[in-house]
Amino acid sequence: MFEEYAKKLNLGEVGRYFLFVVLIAIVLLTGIINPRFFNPNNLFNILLQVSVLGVVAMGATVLLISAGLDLSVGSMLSVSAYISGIVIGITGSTYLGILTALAVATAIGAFNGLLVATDRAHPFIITLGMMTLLQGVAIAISRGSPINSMGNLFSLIGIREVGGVIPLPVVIFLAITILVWFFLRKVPWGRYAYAIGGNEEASRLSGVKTKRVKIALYTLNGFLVGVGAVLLSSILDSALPNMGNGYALRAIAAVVIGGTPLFGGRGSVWGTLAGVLLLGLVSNSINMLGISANFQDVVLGTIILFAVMSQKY
Amino acid sequence: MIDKEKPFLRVHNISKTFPGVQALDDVSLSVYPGEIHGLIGENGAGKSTLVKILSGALDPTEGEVVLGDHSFSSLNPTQAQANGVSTVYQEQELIPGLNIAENIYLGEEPRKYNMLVNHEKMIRDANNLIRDYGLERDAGEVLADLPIAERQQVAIIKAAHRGSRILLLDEPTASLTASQIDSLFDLIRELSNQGMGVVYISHNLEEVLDIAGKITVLRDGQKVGTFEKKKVTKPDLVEHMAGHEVQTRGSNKKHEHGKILLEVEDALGSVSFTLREKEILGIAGTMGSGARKILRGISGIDPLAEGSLKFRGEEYIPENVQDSVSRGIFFIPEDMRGEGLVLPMPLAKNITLPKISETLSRGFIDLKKEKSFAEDHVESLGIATPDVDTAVRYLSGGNQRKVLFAKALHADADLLLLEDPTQGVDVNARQEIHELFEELRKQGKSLIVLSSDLDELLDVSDRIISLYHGELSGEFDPAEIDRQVLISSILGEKTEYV
Repeated sequence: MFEEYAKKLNLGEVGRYFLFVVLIAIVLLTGIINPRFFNPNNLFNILLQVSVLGVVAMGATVLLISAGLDLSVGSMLSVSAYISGIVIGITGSTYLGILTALAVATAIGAFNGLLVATDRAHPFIITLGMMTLLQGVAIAISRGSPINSMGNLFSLIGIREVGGVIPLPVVIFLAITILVWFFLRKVPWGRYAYAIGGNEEASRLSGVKTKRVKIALYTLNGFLVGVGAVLLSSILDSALPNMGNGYALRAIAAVVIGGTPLFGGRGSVWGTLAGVLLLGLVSNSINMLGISANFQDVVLGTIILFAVMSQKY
Repeated sequence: MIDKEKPFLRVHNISKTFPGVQALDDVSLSVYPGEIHGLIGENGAGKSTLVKILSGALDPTEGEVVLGDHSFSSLNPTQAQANGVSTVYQEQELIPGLNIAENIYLGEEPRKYNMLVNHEKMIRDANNLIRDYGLERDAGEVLADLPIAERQQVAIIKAAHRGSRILLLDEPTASLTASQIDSLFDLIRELSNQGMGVVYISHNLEEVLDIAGKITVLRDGQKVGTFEKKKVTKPDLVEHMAGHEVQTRGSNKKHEHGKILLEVEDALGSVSFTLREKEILGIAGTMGSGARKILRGISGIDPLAEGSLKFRGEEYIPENVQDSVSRGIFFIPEDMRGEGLVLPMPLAKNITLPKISETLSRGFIDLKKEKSFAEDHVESLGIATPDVDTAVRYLSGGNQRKVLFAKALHADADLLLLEDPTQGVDVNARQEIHELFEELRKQGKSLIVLSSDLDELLDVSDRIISLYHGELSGEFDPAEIDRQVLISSILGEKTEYV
C-alpha cells in the first residue's frame, strides 16, 4: 500500500534530494524563528554533540557496507570508557587511560569479528548477545556507580578548542571521517568490504580471504568505538555504566539515512556524515524552537522513517 | 469420467525465440490421460524451455497450449496450475519446516468451527492419502527430516491431491539411488493408472525407456519425432538425439603443446589425467559425474576429497582460493551472478579483485592505475560498456561473462578452469568467447573446459575426457569422433568406444 502512495507522491525521485531538502528546511526554519541558531558557537555546539555518534557511525558504515552489523557498540563504549576511568583513577595517567579504552574496545571488536567469521549465526544475533553481555559487564564492574572524574582527559580533549574556536572532539571526528573515507577508497581491505557486501561467495572465489577481512573490519569498528569512548568520557568528564546506551541504533540510523543499504555492497562516508548532521540538527532545532524535549524522539523517528522509505535502491 | 481417448494436453506448433537463439521451433505434441510421455534431448535441445512454457514460467513466441477444453496462447503459473498442470522440480515447492500433512494441505487446511485448523483430521486424511500412494511415513513427520527422494514423492502426491491432470517431471532422478528410483516409478505408474498424464524429462535413456510409453525427441529446438516405446531402441534414440550428420570440426589443426602443467591423480578415487601448456582439455559429464568437484578441488574452493595434484611438477594441496590464484590457477564459475561477479561493484573493481596488489602504489590502491588496467582488458576482450566505472549489473550476459575472463587475465593465470563458459549467452557472444580461448592459448595459457554443451566441447577442445559417476569413461580426440560417441560415453557406455 505504501508503495502505491510513494509512487503517487513520486517519492523515489524526491528521495535522492530529500535529505538535503530536509536539512535546509530545518536550518532555515529554525534560523528564522530563532536567529541565535546561526551563532557559530551554536553550530560548533551541534558538531560537538554529534562527534561521538559520528565516530561510532563511521565504524557502522564500514560494517554495513560489508553486509555486517554490530549492535554491541553502545555497551562496548560503556565498558571501555569505564575501564579506562578505573585505570586513570589508579595510575593517574591519562595516556594510559586513553590506550586502555582503545585497547579494550579493539579487543572486543576483534572478538565480535571472530564470532561473526564462524558463520554460525547472523551478526544481528551474535552482536545482540554481545550487547547484553557487555551491558551486564559494565553494570557488574561499576556496581551501578559512575566515575566522576576522568583526570586530565577533560582538559586534554573534552574542552580543548583548536585555534580557540573548533572543539577538539569535532576535529577528531572529522579526521576520523577522512581516514575512513581513505580506508574505503584506497586500502585493499576497504575495497574488500564492498566486495564482500556485494557478493561474499564471488569474493571468496576471487581469492579474497573473506573470514580474515571480516575479522579485520569488526576490529576496526571496535577501535573506532574506543575513540568514541575516549571522546564521550572526556566531554562528560565522567564514565557511566550506561553512557553508550542508544548509540548502536542511532549510528545505524545515521548510516542508513545516508544511503548505505542494510544488505551492503554500497555506501559512503559522506552519506553517513549527512545522516549524522541531520540527526544533530533536528535535536538542536527542537531545543532552539522551544519544543518540549518529550517530542524529540517523535520528530526524529518520523524523519528517519521518511528518509529511509523514500530511498531508491 | 476421464475420457482416455482424447488428449488432455496438446501443444500446437510452439516456437520460442530468445535474442539470437531459436530455442523451440514449431514443436507439437499431445499427452493423453494416463500416458507417461518421455521427453529427451541434449542440453540446449529445448526440453527445459518447453517445460517452462507448459508450467507458465515462459511465454511462447508462437503457437498455443490446449489444456482440456481451454486453449491458451500464453500461460501464467497460476493459470497452469488452475488448469491441472503441476511441475515438480525436486522438492522446491514444499516447506521444509512443516510436516507432511501441513505441506499437502497448505492453504486448504480442514477447519474446526470454521476458524481453527483441524490438526487431527488433517493428519488422518494425509496418512490415508500417502499410504494409498505407497509412502510409508507418518504424516506428522517434519519434511526436513525426510530424504530428498521422499520429499519429492510428497510433492507429487500433493500435486495429485490438488487434482492435477498433467505432471511435469524435470530430471526427477538426478539425485536418487536405484531403490529410490524404483519407488518413484511405482508412484508414477500408480498415478498413471488413475488417469494422470505425465511428461517425463530426462537425459537417462534407460530410465525413459523403462517408464515411458511414448518418447518425443528434441534436437536444436525441433521435434525429431515421437516414438512408441515398443518400436524404438536405445541406439535409435541416441542417433535421433545426436542427428545423423557427422559435423566437420574446425579443430583438425594440430597444436603444439608445451610441458606438462597439471597432473591430477586418483581424484574422486580413480580419475587421473594430465594437462600440457597451451592445451585445451574438454571435460564431458552429466550432473553427478564428479567433474565439477574435481575443478573446484583444483581451484581450492572446496577441498579435494581424494587424490593428489601436481602443478608445474610440484605437489600441491590448495588450502584456499588465494592459494591457487597466486600459483596462476583461476576458476570461472558457471553461476556468474551468484559466484562470479560482485554485481553492484564497478567493472574496474571487479576485474582487479583477484589481484588487487597489482594496482597498488606505495601500499594503497592507485585508482588511475586500476582504471587503465581495466580499460586495457575491456578493450582487448571487446567488452561493451559505457566506461569501467559502470556497475557490472548493468552489462549484458555476454559482457558479464567476458568480465570473468578479464579477472582471470588480471590475475595473470596460466591455467583457467571453466565451468559452462557460454551458459546463457547469445550465439555471437558464444562465438567471441570461443575465439577468446584460442587467443588465450596463443598467450601460452592452458584451459580446462567443463561443459554440458557437447558441441562446444567438440568445437574448442584439443582432447576430451568424459566422466560418469565419478569415474573416467572415455578419452577422445574430438577430430575423430562425433556427438553420438560422446553422448554414449557420458551416459556411462564405457567399453564400446574407448
